Order: sequence, then C-alpha cells, then structure tokens
Amino acid sequence: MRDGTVAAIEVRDLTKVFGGGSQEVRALDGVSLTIARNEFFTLLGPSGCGKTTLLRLIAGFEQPSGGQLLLDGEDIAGRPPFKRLVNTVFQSYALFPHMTVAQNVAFGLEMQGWDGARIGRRVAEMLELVKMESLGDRRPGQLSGGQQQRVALARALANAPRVLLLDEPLSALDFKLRKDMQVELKRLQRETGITFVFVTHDQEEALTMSDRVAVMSQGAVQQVGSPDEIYERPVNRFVADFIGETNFLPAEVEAAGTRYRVPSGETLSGHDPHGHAQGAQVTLALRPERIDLLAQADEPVSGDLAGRVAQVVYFGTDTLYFLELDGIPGRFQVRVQNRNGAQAEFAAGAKVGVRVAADAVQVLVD
Amino acid sequence: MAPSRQARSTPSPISPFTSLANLLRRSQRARLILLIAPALLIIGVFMLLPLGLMAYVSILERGINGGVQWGVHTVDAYVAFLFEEDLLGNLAINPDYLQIFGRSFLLSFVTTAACLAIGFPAAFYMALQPEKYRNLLIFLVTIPFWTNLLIRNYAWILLLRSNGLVNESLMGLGLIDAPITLLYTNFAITLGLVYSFLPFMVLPIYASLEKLDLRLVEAAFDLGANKRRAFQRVIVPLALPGIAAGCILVFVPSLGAFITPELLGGSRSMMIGNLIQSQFGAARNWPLGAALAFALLAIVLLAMMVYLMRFRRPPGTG
Ligand SMILES: Nc1ncnc2c1ncn2[C@@H]1O[C@H](COP(=O)(O)OP(=O)(O)OP(=O)(O)O)[C@@H](O)[C@H]1O
Ligand SMILES: [Mg+2]
Repeated sequence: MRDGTVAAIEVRDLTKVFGGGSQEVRALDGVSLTIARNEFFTLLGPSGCGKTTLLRLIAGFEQPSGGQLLLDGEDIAGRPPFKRLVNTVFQSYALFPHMTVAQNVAFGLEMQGWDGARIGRRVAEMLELVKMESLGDRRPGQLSGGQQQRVALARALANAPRVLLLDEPLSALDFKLRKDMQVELKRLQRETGITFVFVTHDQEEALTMSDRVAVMSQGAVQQVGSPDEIYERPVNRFVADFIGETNFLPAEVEAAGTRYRVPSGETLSGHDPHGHAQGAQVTLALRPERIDLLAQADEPVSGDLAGRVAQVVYFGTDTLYFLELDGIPGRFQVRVQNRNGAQAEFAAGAKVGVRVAADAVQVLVD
Repeated sequence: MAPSRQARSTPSPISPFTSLANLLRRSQRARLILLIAPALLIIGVFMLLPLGLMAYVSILERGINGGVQWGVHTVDAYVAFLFEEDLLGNLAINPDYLQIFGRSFLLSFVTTAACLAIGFPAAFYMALQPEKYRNLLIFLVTIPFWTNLLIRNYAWILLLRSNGLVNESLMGLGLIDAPITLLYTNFAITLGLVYSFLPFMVLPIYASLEKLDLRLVEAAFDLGANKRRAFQRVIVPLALPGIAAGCILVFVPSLGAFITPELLGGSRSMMIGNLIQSQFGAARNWPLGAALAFALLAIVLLAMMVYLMRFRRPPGTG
C-alpha cells in the first residue's frame, strides 16, 4: 500500500456462488474491502446479505468463486483454515462439549505444539482476561449463554490470531448482558491489539463499537465508513433506510452541490457526494432529530416547510411527531427532545413550521 | 333428598373396579406398584426365571441320559470347566475349555475390531450424506437381516469352499494355481461374524455421528487442528458412546455365536456357543452347559460394567 503499512485483510472483488442452475445463489457479488490492522471493523446488513459467507471465506471454510483474499498482503487462496492466522468466534459458540472450559481454551495451543506448562499459564491468563478464572473445570453445558460466549472468546484469542472473526457473537444474549459484553469486547480489542471483524445486524451495536462499518446488502458492500459517516452521510437510499430513521424527500437540483427544490417549492441546502447536475431528480435524506418544529406564530425563514401534526408518539427521552407536509406526499418524522417533561409541545392536528438544520440534508443515489 | 335414593344411585361398593380405583386414588405407592408391575412381570418371567433355572441346573448332578438329577447338588460342573479327573481320580488342569474360551474371545475381539474398522468409515460416510439419502442408506444396511442367518452362512460356504466362487475366480484370474483353504478356518468364522454383526456396529455409530455438530469440526480446524487431529480430538470423542455401544453389540453376540462357527468353522474351530450347545445336545451334560453359560454371562456382565463406568455421559454434555 502507499503509506507502507499492509492491510490486515484485503478483499478484492470477492464473489461466492452457491449451488448452480436454477438454484444458484450469489451470496457475495464482487465485494472489495480493506481492513486495517488493529481495526474494529463491522459488517452490518440484513439477514441473508452475505455477512457469514464473507467471514467463512476469510476463515477458509468456503472457497471463493472469484476474486482475491489477502491476509497481511499474502494471497491465501486455497490455504486450509488451520493454516490461517485467523480465529473465529462462532455465532453458536461451537464449544467442545466433551472438554472442560480450560481444555477448550487450551485446544488451539495444543494444536500449535506448546508444552504443558506454557499452555497452563496461557489458559489462566486468557480465562482471567474474560473473567472466567473460577470456572475452568466446568463443562460448556454447565455455563450460561454469556459465560459460554466468553469462553468462546478466550479460546479464539488464546492463539493470538492476527484477525479475530466474530459472527453475531452477542445475538443470543439478553439486553443487559449484551451491553456488558459490548464494553468487554471493545476493551479486549484495545488490550490485545488484534484486528476484529465483527458481524451484526444490529445497527446500534455497529455504530457504538466500530472504528469502521461496512453496510452490506444482497451480497454487495453499499458503503464503508466510520459510524458517523455512515449515519450522517449515507450514500444511498438503502444505507439511509437501514440505519436509523430517515425522511426521504423527492427534489430537483437547483444549483449543483448546494440547493435542492422540493415539490412544495421551497429550496433546501444539501450535501451531495455524487455531483448530480442541475435539473436532475434526486432523493434527499433527513434525519428526524435534525429538524426543529416551530409554532405557526413563529416567523418563517427561507427553506422552512409547513405542515400539520398527524400523530404524536411519546418515547420518554423524546417525542416522535408524524407530520403531513403541505405539497409533499408521504409522512414526515420529527424527533424532539423532551426538555420539558412529558408534556408534548404540539398536539395532533396542530399547524406547524418545519426547520431543517443547516447541513442535515444528504443527497442520495437511488 | 332422601338418603335411600342416594344410596341406590352410587355403584355397588363391592365392585372390584371401584375398590381398585379407590385404592389407587388413596395410595401413591399402590399406583406406583401397579405401573411398574408389567415391567417387573416381564423381567421376572422372561429373564430372572430362566436364569435362576439355569443357575440351579449348573449345580445339579448330571442325568445319565441327559437332563439332571433334581435335588442332587454338586459343583462338579464348575470343577470340570477347569479340571479333568484322570484315571487315578486326581484332578489335573484341563486347558481344553479354556482354549475354546480363549479362541472365542480372540475371534470376537478380531471381529469387533474389523467391524469397527469397516463400520466407522461407513457410518461416517452415511452421516455426511444429504438428509434424503441417509434413510435410504440405513435401509440398505439392514437389508441382510431380511434373510435367515442360516441361509446367509450357507451362502458364505458356497463362496469360500475349494471350488467356490472366490477360489474359482482367483484361479481363473491366474493369481493362484490350486484352491486355497478358506472354509473351516478361523478366518472363515471371523469373516462370517463380521458380515453378520456389521450393522450392529454401523447403526449406533451412525446415530452418534449424525447428531455431531459439524460446526465443532470447523471450530477445531479454525483453532489449528488438521484433519487427523480434528478427527482424533473432536469426532472420535463425540462418537465414543456410539462406538462403545457398537463394540458391545458386536462383541457380546460374537462370543455367544454358534451358527456361524458351526457352519464355517468345522470341528477344530469350536467357540463357546458350540461348546454350550454340544453340552446340552450330544454330550448330554446339562450342568456343564449351564456352568459354561454362566461363566460367559459373568464375563459379559463385567464388560458391561466397565462400559457403564467408563462411558457414562459426563454431566452437561446432554
Ligand atoms: N451453503 C449454502 N448453500 C446455499 N446457499 C447458501 C449457503 N450458505 C449461504 N447461502 C445463501 O447465501 C446468502 C447469504 O447467506 P449468509 O449466511 O452469508 O447471510 P448472513 O448475512 O450471514 O445472514 P444472517 O444475518 O441471517 O446470518 C443467503 O441467501 C443464503 O441463503
Ligand atoms: Mg450469518
């Protein structure tokens, strides 16, 4: 690479096709990614988009139908899983039921031919890392889900892999445990300096934990970026829709890169990474929390939209308003912080003004 | 309401059904006894009774023309198992029966080992097939049972004899000049036993392999185990209950087999089964036959105990 550092994982135009003929499934369709060393990289996408398939290709359980896979700059095509410095935390944990916790953690070290005393020390170290010191003699069947999860982590980390692949490791846990494990995983990643490739279909988990996120859909990567880039600057409708809540407005480019006219006649200033030309029909994305509601009496300024409150939903920390905008089809969502307690500022049926924050409008490709 | 009418409307108190129902309603223990009674009856009538009878027969004096002399007790049969009375009335160790026991164990052991060597890969292959083929394969494994055991052993005679299919083919191919002796050897017995008992090895191993989570094998690969190590450390241990069950199901009936050694082994390759059968038959020595059967039973029970202690599932692996 240009800056002299080699990526932990480089995926070039990777394709995976299952089956054949009429039953052909393109699980991955030309995926390209570069994952840096020590990065917490998350694959985010709906069910069936190919996240697990990508992990299995990296781990070596499946062979690619096309494209290249580089680990530390080395092409690892055809290399069996046991010769890749990659370990996996399986979604199902896949702990060996006939071995104790300690034996599970020791397994990888034994396979590498470590001697008994060294294995013992390392296992103790790993169990301490995941706070399971006292349960080394238990069998997996005698552990809770969260404990099994931590054993699976310790087992995968014991070999000090260059890359740790985690396939929805938290999906089986309850909310509280899940939050704890998220913090724990982050800590482990910082302390070990290992590259984490983390799979989830939970967008909040992806945003809070990752250095960078790749949003996938139907076997292809839609966007790669930091959590705030993904959230604030989605490149297309799928990403904007999949992550968080979004209002979509049809618009026409009035001045390329700056002003966009919505059907009701007002113009909004927007951010366009795609460089649509003047006159082009585009879609604008607006996050509900980047919008202010104004009472009818307030003085409107240029760019304010007008509408009527259709429905009010109380959420505790905030209130969600569903609006019908004048001259614009569809429903429009606005989220307002409840600074004044439970009392909603606007009732259903009220006429309101809508003010969009300065840089809140993102122009999408459809 | 008049008391007389009420009395008439309840069923007669002496109805056996009513009193039993009342008893059951009152007593937890009575209900329990009634529930396990059928099982106890079956075990008692079909297992304990015959076994007790045989135990008693083994300590009776033999009848001159077969049968036993009821009421005349002796341990002669157990003595005769190990010792022989010479002409002067001294007891000398008689290794004949021990030899037969030894041969039986050896042949059963070889049979079990061969069944395991063939049965494990077969079961493994079956377990890896797509689901729709698996039932077909199980079905195929059980096909030999459709034919009578005698017929199948006679078929082996036809194959193995001097002018049988095997020898004729080998000679036809020019691999041998004269027929080789296959029939009436230990080899023939083992072959017959392996053939007869192979399904008993394949099916339990298949059952445990089919349940095996392939993701565990992937986990082993992931942690650096090559195919051989993943096999040794993950697949075999998880299939162990099936392997142990298969070994017992092959070893125990092999020990007691008598049709196969009778037909394929000839007179010089007797096994315990033939010995016991001959004591009850031609030799007319029922007590010795019963004693031999008990010696065999003791050994089998011992093996079962070892199995139960060794392979009882550890907690939490359910
Ligand atoms: N072995 C296989 N044979 C055929 N099709 C497969 C196979 N494995 C995966 N697929 C298909 O490939 C697509 C991607 O599957 P994958 O398991 O990668 O999804 P995923 O993103 O991990 O989904 P989830 O979030 O539900 O785990 C799916 O349509 C799936 O049906
Ligand atoms: Mg998946």
